[in-house]
Amino acid sequence: MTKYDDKALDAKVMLGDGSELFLSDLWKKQPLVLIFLRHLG
Amino acid sequence: MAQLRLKKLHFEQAGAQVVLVGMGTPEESAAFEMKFDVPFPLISDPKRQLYQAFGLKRVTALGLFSPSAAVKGILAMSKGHTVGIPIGDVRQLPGVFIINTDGRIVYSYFASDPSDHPDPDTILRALKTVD
Repeated sequence: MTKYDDKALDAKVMLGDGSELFLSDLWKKQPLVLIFLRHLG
Repeated sequence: MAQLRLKKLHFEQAGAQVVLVGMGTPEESAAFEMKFDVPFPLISDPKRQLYQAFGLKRVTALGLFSPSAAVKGILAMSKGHTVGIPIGDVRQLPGVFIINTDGRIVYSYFASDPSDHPDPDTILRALKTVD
């Protein structure tokens, strides 16, 4: 389980528009709030 | 989603980047974004690899139909929320993480049932403690 102060996984991810990026691209300049949704719909 | 949309400006003022993760394919995610006017970028994770990497678990079949989940569902419907055809694993538990600019997890929330989630104000308060 991910714990406080753990280093976050820097995975390559895909956005809904098909573009790809690394998670670290999202937290480099500002804190990242990553919200995992339950199922869509 | 409506609660998050209302707080978008607050997250921007807090200097945070908010990104959602869903279990749809890129096409399903794009359709979801359009249908619900999703206010933040949405990562497509149809194989739930990111969910698993962050330690988010699946609820048991019993938990899926727990009394607390049923009550939350009834309350949501009483507020006008409807239930659509689900895309993704209905047993997957959601969660929230805040990652600071060093790449360290400084806040984590693991849902106890599929309808469980922290309200946006709780996340905003947690953001104030981030270095």
